[in-house]
Amino acid sequence: MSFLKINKYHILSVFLILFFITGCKKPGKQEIKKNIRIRLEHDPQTLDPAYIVDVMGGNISAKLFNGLVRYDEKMAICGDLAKEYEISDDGKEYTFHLRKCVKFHCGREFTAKDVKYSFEYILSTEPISPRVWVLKKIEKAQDFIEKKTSHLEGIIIKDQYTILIKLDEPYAPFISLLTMPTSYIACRQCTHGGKQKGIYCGTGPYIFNLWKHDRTLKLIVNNDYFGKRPSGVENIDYYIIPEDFTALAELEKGRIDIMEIPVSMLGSLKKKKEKKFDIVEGVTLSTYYIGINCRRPYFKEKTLRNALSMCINKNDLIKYLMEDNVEKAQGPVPPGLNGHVSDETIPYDPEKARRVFASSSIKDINLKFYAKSSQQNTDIVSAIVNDMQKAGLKVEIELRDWAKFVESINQGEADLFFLSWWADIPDGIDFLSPVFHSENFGSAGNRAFFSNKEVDSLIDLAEKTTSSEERHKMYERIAQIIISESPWIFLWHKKSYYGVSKKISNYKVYPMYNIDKGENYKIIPASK
Amino acid sequence: MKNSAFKKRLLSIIPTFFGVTLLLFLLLKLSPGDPVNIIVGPRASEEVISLYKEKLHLDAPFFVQYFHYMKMIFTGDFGRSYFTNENVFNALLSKLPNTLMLAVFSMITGTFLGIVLGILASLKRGGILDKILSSVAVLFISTPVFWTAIMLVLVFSILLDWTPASAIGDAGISAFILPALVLGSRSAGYIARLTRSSMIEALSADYIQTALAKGVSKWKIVIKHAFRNSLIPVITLIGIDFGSYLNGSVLTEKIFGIDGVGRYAINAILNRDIPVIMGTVILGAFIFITMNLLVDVLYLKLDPRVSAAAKN
Repeated sequence: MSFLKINKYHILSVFLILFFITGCKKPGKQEIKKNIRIRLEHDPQTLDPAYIVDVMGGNISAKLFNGLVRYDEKMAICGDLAKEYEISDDGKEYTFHLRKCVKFHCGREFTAKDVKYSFEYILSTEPISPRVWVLKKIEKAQDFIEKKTSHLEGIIIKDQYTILIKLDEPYAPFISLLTMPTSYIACRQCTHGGKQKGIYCGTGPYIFNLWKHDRTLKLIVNNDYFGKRPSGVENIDYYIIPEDFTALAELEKGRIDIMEIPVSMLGSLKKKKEKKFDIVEGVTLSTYYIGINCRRPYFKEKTLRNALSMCINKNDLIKYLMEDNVEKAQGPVPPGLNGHVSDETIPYDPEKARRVFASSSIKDINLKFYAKSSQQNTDIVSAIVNDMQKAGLKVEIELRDWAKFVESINQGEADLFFLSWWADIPDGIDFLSPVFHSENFGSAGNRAFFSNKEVDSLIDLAEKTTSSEERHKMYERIAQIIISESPWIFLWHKKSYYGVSKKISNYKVYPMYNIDKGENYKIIPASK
Repeated sequence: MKNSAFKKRLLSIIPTFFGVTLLLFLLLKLSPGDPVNIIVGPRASEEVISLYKEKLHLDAPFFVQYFHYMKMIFTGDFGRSYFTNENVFNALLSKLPNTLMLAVFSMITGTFLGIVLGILASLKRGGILDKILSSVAVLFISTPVFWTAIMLVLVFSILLDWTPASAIGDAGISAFILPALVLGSRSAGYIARLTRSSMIEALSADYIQTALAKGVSKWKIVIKHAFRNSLIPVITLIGIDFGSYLNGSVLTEKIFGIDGVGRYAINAILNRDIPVIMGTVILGAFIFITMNLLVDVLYLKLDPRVSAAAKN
């Protein structure tokens, strides 16, 4: 049956769909604006210093707030809101001389009272701050947390611009802990004003402007900032783009200026000759590892744990899966920190590993290897398990989503697990104490349930040792013991790569997420 | 539909609502993974974890938790996100317009394209055009959403620079073009196939031959008689598709960076953010029930037989 003759008008009508195209514009052809647009993969959890536990929240809050001290570009501690500080000989008293004429974003002047208030806020907030441990070393902090005292007795306001912090006992990393977002100073008046918005009132180089969850977060430059101010920048706009491919398309078209480039995309981008952005590289303070559950009777013997390390071909993993974009790890501490080991520690020796496994009962056990489910993790874990199977082990992979994965390994369900550890402070102790001290089993960091009395006592001693030279020697000793005990299979230290628009200069990738306060950003003026 | 029948349908919402919430709550409790481990980060002590569980009532028995949640719902409170502390109801209200816009654009695209392809194929039944259009419909259905999305971004955003790749900044309505094409093409495939088969059935009916014999114009026969009679199954499909799009299209929203209900829901599921999961599912159930009611009403308008049956 033929009712109609198809003519060009009928065909054209199908393409009426193109009515949408009327809304099109050329988004890439924009004049250079004075805002820096940064891609975020997802929303930060919070910007409230008391509750920040993620890297993203820490990175953004660093632009809003200041601590008493901070790390500079060379990763040395320097004054921030404190102009200078002194540590007593016994390592228990820290005196901070504060900067004068520093103003909060609301216009109020910053004084010593704000320091005391901010620290008391962290220790008393409801629900309790997950980072309460950062300030727990302050004298009588536990009494204050338990509401036995009305104020934090370990903090004494000497005068408006001088404050003394006393510790229960010497704790060398304390000064480093004061650089963490948890220790940022917030305006006490605004904090009382409202939890959602006012809490973000700090003294930092940028002022909180708006936050549309899952969409955008905007900061504006603080023209009253006491430190260096960015050049030619008026705003930082963060945009949430979950998909890497889409974000890269926006970077190519100049609709965002900065994004982290995933390793999987790096190879093709590096080969591309004409890019509209630069690739900036930086090391991160991180260690990727396979945790070995030391509570399992069959992993009690360190020769077996060593053999697990020996049977994995890390060089091939790094070359083919990570495309040489990471640095091979020989120990727990990343490069640049005291305690780092760069020499080959446990060489690849699958034959030796096979002999060890063959003479042990482990060859008859079905080992459970847990990892967070993602395509990259699947590739990595499959390659590792393949090496283990070649060496005669029976290993089963269990991929789980993050919530279940973390719960499982915290409870010691896994025999082996693939995870990474990132620095909160750029100090070697941060890769030793939380993850290998027997007081920190499970959720506190030691998910391998590794226990070694010598390591415990050396960590305790190092934390109390005020001489940095002696302390660093101890870090090296601890790292050596851990390498020989092999509670982890050390895989690699990650590098970060960022795509940065050519309109921005002075963008650097720092090893720590909160070193970058956005003070050095510079927008290159458009050429006429 | 008689008033009583309509009321019956409305009343059925109540057990559906309780069924959905109870089942979902049960599933959430049975599914492994604890949100507290994500909230507190990698270095929290067991003491802090148990304090959070207590605060969020996660250590309470199942029915206590369910009762606590339902009590909140009946006071108009959908709770707050465990992570952002944002009011779930307000968050849903802010995300719904984006999802709605995407759903409407997708359905306009899908319906228009699907019906046109379906009618053309049915009119040229067995011919080359029919074969080509049927293959196009199968292609639309079988191409994965993420692949279509990536290809469209590659062509229209990167190569041609016609549209933005995501809904950031001042992209406005133009950010919905590609996602609407992605979702719409999939719907178009289904609609085209259904329209074609319904149209073939309608066109072979006796009343069409009668109309032809009476000299009624061909366009009138196709549009007024055949197409109208073939619409009932198509409307059902459109209703179901539209309902599912209103619940959020997870992949499309994620790929194009659209802050919609689907993305909100999937993030909540991954983080075990129970108030948000409950909120999005309750909204989804409400949308589906409403869409089904609307489809029923449309049947009445389109098919006098349904209307007459309802009256009797």
